Amino acid sequence: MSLDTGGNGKQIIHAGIQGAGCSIPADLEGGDFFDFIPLGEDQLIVAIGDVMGKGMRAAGQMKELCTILHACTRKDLSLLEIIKQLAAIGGKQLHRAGSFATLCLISYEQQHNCLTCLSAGHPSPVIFSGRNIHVPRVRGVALGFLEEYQGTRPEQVVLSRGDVVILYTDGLVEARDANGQNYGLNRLKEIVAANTCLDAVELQEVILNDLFTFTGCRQQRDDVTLVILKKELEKGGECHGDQGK
Amino acid sequence: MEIRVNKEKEKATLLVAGELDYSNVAQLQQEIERQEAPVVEVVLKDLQFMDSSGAGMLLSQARLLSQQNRVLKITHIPANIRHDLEIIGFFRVLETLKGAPQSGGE
Repeated sequence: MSLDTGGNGKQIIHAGIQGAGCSIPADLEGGDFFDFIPLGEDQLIVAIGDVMGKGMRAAGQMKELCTILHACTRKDLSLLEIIKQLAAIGGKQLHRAGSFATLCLISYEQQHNCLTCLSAGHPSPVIFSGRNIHVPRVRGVALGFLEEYQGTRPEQVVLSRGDVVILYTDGLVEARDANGQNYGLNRLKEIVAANTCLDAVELQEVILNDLFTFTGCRQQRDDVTLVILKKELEKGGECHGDQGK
Repeated sequence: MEIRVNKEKEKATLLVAGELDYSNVAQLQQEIERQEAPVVEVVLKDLQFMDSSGAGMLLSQARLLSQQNRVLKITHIPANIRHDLEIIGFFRVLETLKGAPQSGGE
C-alpha cells in the first residue's frame, strides 16, 4: 500500500545501507527535517532534527540549518567537529531568533561496518541487531541554547548484515489516539522488532500504517518524522529477525 | 491552558494547567513578564503537554530573569515532560544560568 507522506519522502541505497525516510508536517510546513548525505563511495551521513515551533518560520530555520550541515560535510570533518560547527554557526542564528533545534547525526563507514552517532538534544537512535535492541547513550544540549556544543562523545556501533537503525522525532512517539494515549517508544520498538526482515521502504510503510491505525489518522499536534536504515543482506542472505524464524 | 497566579511579597507563583504549545505560549510568557517579584515560580504539576515552543520560551524567560538578578523556578514537572526536557538539555542550560555572572539588570 502506498501511504501519503505529504511528498516529504526520500530513499537512498549507499555504502551498503538502504535508507528510507519521511516527514509528515502537522502544519502546512514543518520544522522537522532529515537528510541522507552520501560521501564518496564508502560513507553515508544521516541527519534528523526538529526546529522549535511550526510553520514558515520553523521551516526557514530548518532549511538554513540543512545548508550549514551540507557545507560542513564537504569539509571532511569528524562527526564531533560537524556538530560543533553546527552549534557555533547554526546555533548562534537560532539563538538570535529565540529558537533552538534538536539534531541527531549518524555517520556510517562501510569499510569498517562502523556506525557513529551523536545527539544535540534529540532522541537517540534505536538499533535492532538480531533479537537485541540497543539505544546508544548519546546526549547533548540542543543547538541554539548554548554558545558551543555540550554533550557526550560520539558512540560507535559495528553493524551486521540485516541490522536496522531507527531515527525519529518526538512527534512520532507522542502521536495520540482518540483517548489521548501516546503511540510511545515501546510500540515503535515492538513493530520494528517484528518486522526487521523487511527492507527499509517496506518497514517504513508498516510503521506508518501502524501509527495511522493507532491515531485513526487524526491531525496531530507535532510533525512526525521517521528514518529507517538497514544494512543490506548479501544476495540470498538469511534474515534473523522475528519474521525469519 | 489555564494559569492561576498567587502573589506574595518575594515570590509570584504561576500554576499552569492543561497544554502548553505553540498556540498559547505567548499567554504564559506575558504572565511571567507581568510579574515583578524577585522569584517567579512556574508550577507545572497539572500540565499535561508541553511542546518545544513552551520549553524554548521558559528558557528564554529564565535567561532574562537571571540577567535581572531574579530567578525563574520551574517546579513539579510531570515525569513525561521532564523526560522530554532532559533530552533537549533543558536542565543543563538552567544550571549554566545559575553559574552565570549576574549583570545587575535592566
